[in-house]
Amino acid sequence: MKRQKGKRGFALISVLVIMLILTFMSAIIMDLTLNAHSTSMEMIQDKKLYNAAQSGIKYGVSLLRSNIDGLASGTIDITGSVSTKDNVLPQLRPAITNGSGQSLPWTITSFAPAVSAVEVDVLDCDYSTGGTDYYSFLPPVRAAGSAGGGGGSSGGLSQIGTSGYLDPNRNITFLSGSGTSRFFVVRSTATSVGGRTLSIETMVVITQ
Amino acid sequence: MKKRAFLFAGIILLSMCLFPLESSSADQGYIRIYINGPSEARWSYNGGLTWLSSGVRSPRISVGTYTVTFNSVSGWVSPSSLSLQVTKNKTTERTVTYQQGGGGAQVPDKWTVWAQPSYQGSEYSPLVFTLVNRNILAWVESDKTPTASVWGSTLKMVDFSRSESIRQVEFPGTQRYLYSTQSNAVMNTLDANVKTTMTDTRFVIPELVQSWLTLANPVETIANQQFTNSTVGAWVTSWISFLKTYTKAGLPLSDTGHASPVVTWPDNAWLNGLPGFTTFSDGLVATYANYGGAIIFLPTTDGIIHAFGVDSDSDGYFAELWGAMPLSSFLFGVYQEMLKQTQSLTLHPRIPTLGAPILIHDVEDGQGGWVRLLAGATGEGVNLSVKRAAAWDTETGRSVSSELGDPGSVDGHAAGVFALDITDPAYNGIKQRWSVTNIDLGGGDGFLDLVSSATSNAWTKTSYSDINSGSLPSFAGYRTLVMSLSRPVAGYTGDSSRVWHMVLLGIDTGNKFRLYNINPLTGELIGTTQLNEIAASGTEIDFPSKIGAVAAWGESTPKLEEIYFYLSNGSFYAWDLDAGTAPQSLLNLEYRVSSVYYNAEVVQEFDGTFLEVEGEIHRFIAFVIRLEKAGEGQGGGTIYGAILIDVTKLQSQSSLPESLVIGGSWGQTNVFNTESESVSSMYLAEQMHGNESYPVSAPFFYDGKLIITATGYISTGNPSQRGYYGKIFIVDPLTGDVQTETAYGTRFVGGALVDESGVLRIPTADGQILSYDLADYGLDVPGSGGGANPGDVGTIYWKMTN
Repeated sequence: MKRQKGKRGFALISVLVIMLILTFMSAIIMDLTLNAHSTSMEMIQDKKLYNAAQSGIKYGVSLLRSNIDGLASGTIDITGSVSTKDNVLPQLRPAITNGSGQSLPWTITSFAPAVSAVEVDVLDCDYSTGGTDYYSFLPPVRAAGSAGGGGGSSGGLSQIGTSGYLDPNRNITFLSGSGTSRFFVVRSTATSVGGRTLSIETMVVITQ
Repeated sequence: MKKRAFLFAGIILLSMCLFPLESSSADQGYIRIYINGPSEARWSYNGGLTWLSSGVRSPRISVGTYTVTFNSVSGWVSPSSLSLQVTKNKTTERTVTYQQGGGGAQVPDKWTVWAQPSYQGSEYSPLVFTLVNRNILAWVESDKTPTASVWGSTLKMVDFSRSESIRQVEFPGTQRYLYSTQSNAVMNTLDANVKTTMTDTRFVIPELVQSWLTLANPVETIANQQFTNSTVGAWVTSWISFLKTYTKAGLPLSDTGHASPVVTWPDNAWLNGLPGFTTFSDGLVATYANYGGAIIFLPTTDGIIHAFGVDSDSDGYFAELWGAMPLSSFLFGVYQEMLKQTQSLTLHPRIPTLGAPILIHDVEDGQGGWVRLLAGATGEGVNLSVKRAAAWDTETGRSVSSELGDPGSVDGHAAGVFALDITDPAYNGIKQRWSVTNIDLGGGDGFLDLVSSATSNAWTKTSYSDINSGSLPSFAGYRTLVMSLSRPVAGYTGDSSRVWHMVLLGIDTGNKFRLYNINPLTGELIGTTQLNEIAASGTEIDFPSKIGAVAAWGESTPKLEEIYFYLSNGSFYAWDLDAGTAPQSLLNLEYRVSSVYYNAEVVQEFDGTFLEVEGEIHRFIAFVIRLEKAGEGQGGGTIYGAILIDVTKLQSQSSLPESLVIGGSWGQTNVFNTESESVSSMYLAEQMHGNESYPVSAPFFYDGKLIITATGYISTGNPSQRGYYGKIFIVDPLTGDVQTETAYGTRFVGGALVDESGVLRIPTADGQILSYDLADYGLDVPGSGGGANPGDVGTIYWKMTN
């Protein structure tokens, strides 16, 4: 059978169109794959950052706990500009050095190469700025209080006036021992080699 | 001539300006819907403003996307709404079908939706327990999709440690639904074939019903739920097949009955003082971190307990982790199958198989060992009957319970209690710890033979003679349970040697309230206590009784010295389980309408605290009750009020219980009324005369004040303030002074939370979060954690800050 010229041309165009479509589809699939790979890499990196930051928190709480006996007590009256972070935070840092002799904030580099550094800071919550201005870098104010009995004290540890409903979502307990409850904020920021950061903050109460 | 031409041109230009529709008429089209179904069926392209019959074409409407909805027709299930694109000068056509399910209940072809959300019936249930010093709030809202006549639920949440954005549920592409078989220590996925030996304890009590089922063709009488009968056995197989077949992906959740979502963290501050708990809790931290630091659990009436992670990504969604059906709920399914078969239904009926609040609590399991249990009851249970068709089509009102009917060949009741072990919250780590039900599926060997060929059958089943002879007292007592709609209480008694308890409050077969004292690890009954209080099941379904425990003076662990419960018949009790004394009836609350006295019902969980009164420490309890007032629209109808009880003073009275008629002096707003020496009350309203509000979360004590969040509708007074409103009451319990904050033009939904920095957070119906810093009202943040010995550490809060 004799094939017509026009039909042969049409077939060629069809093949070209199909090839073009396949090329586009390949490009799209490759792009999606790379994106997925990139996303999963980010998730892994975030996980490493999270673990490193959480380790920083544990490190800070551990050192704070082991040094709690020697810490100075009393409400800290902030001097100088309250709005200046670099002025305020050093006044709230307890005088604790880590195993390397560093004063706060501590820098941990043992997570390399996945995480370039973790910075850990500890801040005493028993302070007064002498005003009511609020700045996001300030930790919540919590005065130290005695840790005894249902009566408790101004540290907020009293059963008087506080919900006593026994449920995990009423996240309140009352102390029953003696001693002073000290409140601290521990902050930990992990930084990746690429500059991504993940920060965790926790407030702990430690019986002194 | 020229002037006339200009005039015509002007008229044409003016017309084009004044009547732009004419100029854009070319950008219009039509919709036409053909309906297979009843003659009453109608469709609407404009949200119900205009209803059109089958085959009728819409007027010319602008091009664009339209949502077509369908009306409700009694006895039929409406099609899901359609999203249609109208194009220029075209008629977009679709054909839809209304479904008819035979002579019984009407249900959609996907099984996750339930006829009505329960809070359409009672408005304030389910809501959430108020959270204090926590950062995640989760709540349920009604979701009317996928059909116009059937309601479902949607779960929402906010993690305030990350943002104030309300997030929606996203079901994963591959769902993990688990069910319990008697041979599994770990719950199976529905399509799994591998089964392992069961090590847990579960129990089935045969329901004594003569001639339980009579079949007409072939004529057959089946006694005592004998599902090993060849006919009925096939139904069970069909039921299991149904469970396997239907996916819930993309569907709304079923109605949640009386259950509200429970957010669960690794820690429990109340247990820190008990040996081994902090180690156990620390061990959970890494696991929970995989799900964003917390897990939300929510039971739905289709029998499934859902678990959701609170993942930290910022896409506005959070994901379902798994769904698990406790054995006690799984067994209810045979009734659904039976009713489908016996009543020639084309679709499965939906008997509510879970509908009570769940308890999630850690319990000591041996020396220094801990397990995390998720426990509850099947809720309303089933009177071995099915809802009538009308119940499924009603969209408003509170008449669901009254629609229950008893098919002639079925009698008796079904109820169950269960506990899952969720210590490992991964989908392949969930275990059925124990389950007790009075449904008996077989001739002595449970339903194992019906679902698998697994061996090592550890199923426990009792016989009538065992029950009657009293040889199985630890389980026989469950035979009395008809329903339980109250969240159980968990805690311990004793000192150095602790005995753990789960206390369930229910209604028994004698129509009286009964306390079931359960070993939470095994399900065995330590004992039951029937109260001399008549229970009305209908009232209990609408306004369930509440039971809870508060920490005794000087106590910071869940020692069960002070359990309180308020029954739906208006009676308030105290119970010292640790002392082993009988529950003490303290108070009966009634109200009066037209010289007739009625019981005042409680509508939220309560709270308790200590306050100093004349130099002495007194126990105070607060809750909210509901009552009726004569008249309509002028302060009449349903009204709500806070009740504050000085329990110490009340218990010192020589004659108990005290009976009070409440609400007689209500009228003034923002004022506490003295009802007696020990009891005071406050009317919840923004203004007088028909502007009542109802509580949207449990009242709670915070830094010496009682806080209640409520919402209502203003119909009179200042026109600019009419409409929905939300209101916060901050009450000094000793002086009765009331501070208030009102948000006009919005409606509170979903409960309330106070975060660790002392900010009260309340979601609104229009998707906003209202935040009130309680420090602005003179309140300090209560402490948390800590310990008795130097160096003890407690965590106040933990959050990611970027």
